[in-house]
Amino acid sequence: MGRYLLERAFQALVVLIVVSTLTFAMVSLAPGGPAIMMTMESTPEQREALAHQLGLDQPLPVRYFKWIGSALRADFGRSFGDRRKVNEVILERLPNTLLLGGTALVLSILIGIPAGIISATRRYSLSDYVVTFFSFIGVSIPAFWFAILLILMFTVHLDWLPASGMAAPGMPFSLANRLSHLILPATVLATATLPNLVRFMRSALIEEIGQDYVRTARAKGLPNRQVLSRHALRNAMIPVVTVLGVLIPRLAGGAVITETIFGWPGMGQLAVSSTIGRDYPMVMGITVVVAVVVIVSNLLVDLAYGWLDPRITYG
Amino acid sequence: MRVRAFAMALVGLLLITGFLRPAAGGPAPGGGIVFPIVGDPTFNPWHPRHFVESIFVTRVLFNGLTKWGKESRWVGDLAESWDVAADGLTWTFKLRRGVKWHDGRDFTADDVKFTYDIVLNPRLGATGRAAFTSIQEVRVVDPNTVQFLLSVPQASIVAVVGVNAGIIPRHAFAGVAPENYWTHDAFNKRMPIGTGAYKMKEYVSGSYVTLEKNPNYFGGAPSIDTITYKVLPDVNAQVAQFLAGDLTLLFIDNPVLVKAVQGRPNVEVNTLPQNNFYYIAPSHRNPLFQDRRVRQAMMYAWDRPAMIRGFLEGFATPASGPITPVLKNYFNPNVKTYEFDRARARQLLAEAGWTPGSDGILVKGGQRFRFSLMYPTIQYFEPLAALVQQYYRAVGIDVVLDGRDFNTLIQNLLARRYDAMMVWWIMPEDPDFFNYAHSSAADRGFNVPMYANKEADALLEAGRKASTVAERERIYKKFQELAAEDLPYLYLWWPNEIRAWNKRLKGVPPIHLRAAFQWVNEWKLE
Repeated sequence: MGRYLLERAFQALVVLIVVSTLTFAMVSLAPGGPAIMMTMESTPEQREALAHQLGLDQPLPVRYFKWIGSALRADFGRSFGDRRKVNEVILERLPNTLLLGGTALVLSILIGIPAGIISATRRYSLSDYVVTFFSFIGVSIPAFWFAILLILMFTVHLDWLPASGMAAPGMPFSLANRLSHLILPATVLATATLPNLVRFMRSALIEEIGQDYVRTARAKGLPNRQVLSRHALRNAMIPVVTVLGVLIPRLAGGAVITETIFGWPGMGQLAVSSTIGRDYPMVMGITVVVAVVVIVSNLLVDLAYGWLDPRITYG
Repeated sequence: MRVRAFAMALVGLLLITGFLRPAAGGPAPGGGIVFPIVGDPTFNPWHPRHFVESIFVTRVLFNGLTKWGKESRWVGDLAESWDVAADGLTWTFKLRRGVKWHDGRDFTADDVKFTYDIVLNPRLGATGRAAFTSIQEVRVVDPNTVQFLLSVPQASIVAVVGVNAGIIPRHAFAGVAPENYWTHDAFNKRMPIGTGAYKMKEYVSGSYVTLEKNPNYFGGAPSIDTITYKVLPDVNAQVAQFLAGDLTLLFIDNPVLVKAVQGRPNVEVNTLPQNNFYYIAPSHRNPLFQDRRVRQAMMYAWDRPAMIRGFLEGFATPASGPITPVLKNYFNPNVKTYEFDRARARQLLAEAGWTPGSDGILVKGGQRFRFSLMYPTIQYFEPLAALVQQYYRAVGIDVVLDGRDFNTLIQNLLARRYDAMMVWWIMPEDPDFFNYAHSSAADRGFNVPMYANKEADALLEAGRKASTVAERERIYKKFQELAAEDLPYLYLWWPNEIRAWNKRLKGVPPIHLRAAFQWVNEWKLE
């Protein structure tokens, strides 16, 4: 196991280096330039001065090695926009995104897995059709539209929930206030992720229920509930865990549309605005953070396989 | 982009139809007002990252030497009075006495010099520097007097020192080397110190900024307790939140959304002309556009009133030139205008030697009349460009559409890589059009059409040297005649500013909102 983890850590390092090199090349070679230099009102002297301040007057390989040198010390430099430290900004935004993404994930699991089980065990029943119907609505509904719809309904019309931000300006922190701000964006986000879980849970469980070992378990007189929970469900979780492994990094990268509409100061908003503004250090910082999340969640998924199915070994 | 446009239309429709009409106009905010901004602000008005999201904050935190007055003329702000020497090169500003910074220190001429030294330092690349190029040095005469020494006369200097030219305190930068000014986060991003009507109270990065009133404001203590700027990048979300009563006032960027807020109880929608114009800048270096008759034909070929009805819900006026009616006496209403007239357009093109080819596209000496039109893929530019293409196709001009994201567009604009560029100018309220059309700005300045005309050059130079208002009026009226006849730019329209606010908000002067924010101490919440 220790050796396995060591191998994975080495792989992770290689992946990180490849990802950051590719991203660095792509963002640096993209047309346009840092927003502070790309204004209609700027003069050539002004742009030269700013290019010098940002180190853009140096050749690309030099810039890359400088960047990777400090990145290895976990220093991602300063933003090309407001010149704040990239680390500082990301540390401000990441927890917000994790809170929103985490809430959406928990909601998805709490609703999605039971819904998938009901759907699978009562195939072609009314409840199956209802679950299937809402899953299709969930995957089809565009987030930007659904978000505005919820705001119009719950904020404008009913005046029950706040429509934006993480807290009411100027108010001391309170859990109730935070939760009330979380409900709408988390609902929008969960609506998009939930159907994935439902569909995978349903099809995986249906497949397991048809297996010989389930028939054997039933034949030896085990109650249906135990057949499901002890035998079928455990095996059916493997594809579901795989889907979770894909969903987690997606949520950690930030939900651009949801964050933008609800004014939620997270990573998605930051990623988009820094890409539009060609804020290279910020884009790089975000890329590395998201890459780390992907690597870690993949590792967790792989470890979960072994726990779910002891036949899977590492080495 | 098409998907996005469709999505926007869908959301717009949702908002307009109201889907759910609120019972009442929405709850009213408490003792403060809330205004949306599109991104995280930077509090230093000279920071290279001081963009539109920051302007509305810094105009309240800081004061310039002058500001745009309620009667639509320049009035003193931190400067009490000014005069100019006979040679037009030395401007003396008398500063207001007894002004205090938010931290209680005295404001003096040293702060003005400190601020302008930042702007004039070529290595810093301060934002807006291009507007100050004729200023050579700022000199402190005594604690209440500063002198601006110019390299060439510039009568518009009074306007220049009033637009996003907030004076910042020298003491807040004590011990900071100039090369670290932009990374001085303590001031730029956390705790700005100004002289303005409101001072920093709370800032949550990415979420909101709250300013509280400055009871010692030299212009008179404000009545409204706080101003909160909420970071809300999405315009549809802004409208939804306004309807929910979470915002007190907002701009309506896309006129289509006016219907969503109009007619609601407690909501006032109003509009006023601005000193902006939308245009197509044909490259005067491209042989296609060098014949004046061709440019005139291009003005006759489009139906601007119909376009204004289609894209702007009527909230604009067809432009007759670059100087707008906002400038009152400087505006010349008696210039050549171009009504929609396809026959006239065809005739002018024929006079210029262009004859229709087999496919209807004009040909001259074996060359087809074909050019590419670059425009940003924001606002309503995408459908607008398609419509322009149709109008020109009807008179035999083939337009290739080239929509770009704003960043790439600017890169091409700065490098002068385009046949024709469709964008807009927002100008200080002064008729000085030198930077936008003088031949010296063709390669590296605001002269986007790369226009070079000796007569225009002479008028623009004379306008800067003129010392009396009457003389400036005469010169700029003449310039407008030339600009209408010779068409350095192809004028689309002067758009109106559309604003909506909660009816409890009173006392906002009838000037554009960027300037009205400088009078925020006179606003009231009933």
